[in-house]
Amino acid sequence: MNHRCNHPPLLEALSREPALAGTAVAVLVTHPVPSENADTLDHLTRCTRAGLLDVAAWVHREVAAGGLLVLAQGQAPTVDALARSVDDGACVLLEVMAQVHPAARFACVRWRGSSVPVEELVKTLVALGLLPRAARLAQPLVLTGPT
Amino acid sequence: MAARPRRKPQAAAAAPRPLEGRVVLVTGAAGGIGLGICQVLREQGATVEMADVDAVTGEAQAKELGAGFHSLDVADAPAFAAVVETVHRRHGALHGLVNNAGVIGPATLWDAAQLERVVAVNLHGVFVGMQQALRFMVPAGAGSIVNVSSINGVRGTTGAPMYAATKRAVVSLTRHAAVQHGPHGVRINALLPGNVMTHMLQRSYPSAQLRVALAQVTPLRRLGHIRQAGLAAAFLLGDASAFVTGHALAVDGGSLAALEVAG
Repeated sequence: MNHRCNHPPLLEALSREPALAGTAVAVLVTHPVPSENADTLDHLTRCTRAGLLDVAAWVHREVAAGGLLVLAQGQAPTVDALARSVDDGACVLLEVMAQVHPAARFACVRWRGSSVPVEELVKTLVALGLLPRAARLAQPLVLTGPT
Repeated sequence: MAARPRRKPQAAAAAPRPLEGRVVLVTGAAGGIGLGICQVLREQGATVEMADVDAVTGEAQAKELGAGFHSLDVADAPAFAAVVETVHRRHGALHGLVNNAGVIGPATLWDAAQLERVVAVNLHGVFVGMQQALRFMVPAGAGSIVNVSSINGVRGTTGAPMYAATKRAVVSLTRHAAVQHGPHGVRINALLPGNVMTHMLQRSYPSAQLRVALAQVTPLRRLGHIRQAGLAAAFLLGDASAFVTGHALAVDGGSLAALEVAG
């Protein structure tokens, strides 16, 4: 199956996962936006570019292909209020798109830490793929403990 | 038998003015929910400064209400800062801010320029407003900010996905800011209007039949009125909500509850 993902190690892991062989998966991985001063309009602007506007463009490109569209949100371990607010908004954007595009399935998965948890993400996507089509999960799915 | 002394007719009780002496800036104030908020705030005694991108309508409405008016696009951060500064200088204080200005935007995701505009007004505008108001409220040790979100920001319903996304982000931003500035004595809450009769709603539901159908799926079986949103905002701005912060208050006739119980 032709998976799409902007994180090469994750893409390779998806491609090797037999449980996902019958599901077309598109994953967009977003990363924390670094900032020396995280309470500025400049920081918010960069967060909304990377975490919301680029996500919207990705959904627009990918949704026609159907399958499973997953937004994988990496967050900084320390609280970045602006970034987290934008991430919450992106999650709702997927929720709205899910109602308009029944041929596609949408999910928002989140973790806090510096590196992309490839193995955990693959397991999560396998679990998502096993769920009934009508299943509705509370979003986002958070892979790490609260901070 | 001695005649009973005639009772003097009681004077009509004066309407309460719980916001007397409070200075409040409202954005997106020329119409719709913003106007409804301004009307109630004036009734309750507040000094109101209205701001809107529609200067013609805004000036006229402000004159009728006895309020000040500022032509303002909230996406213009320096202009927004200047308006807040002007209001504070004019009155020597800023007790409340209502970040109401918002745009719905497209139902699709292909027009990048339109989507950026939605983000600039609905999210960046709210952030700038809060930042500028907090410049005065934090040193004063008091203040109340109301960020107008939407029930579509809590449960993303069909329509405008970027609108829903920004309204959800506003709820999150509100909560984070409330936690951060509570120790400074500033309260920050979100108002979540549901289906309230405004020009914005009429554009989304252009036929009367559609609006009747919308009312029928609302638990209270009617559309809301801008005055009801105004009363809710006045509550959040005043002392009756003195222990309320970080809250998202839905004024929606039960629509969110209906979505929740439907599962």
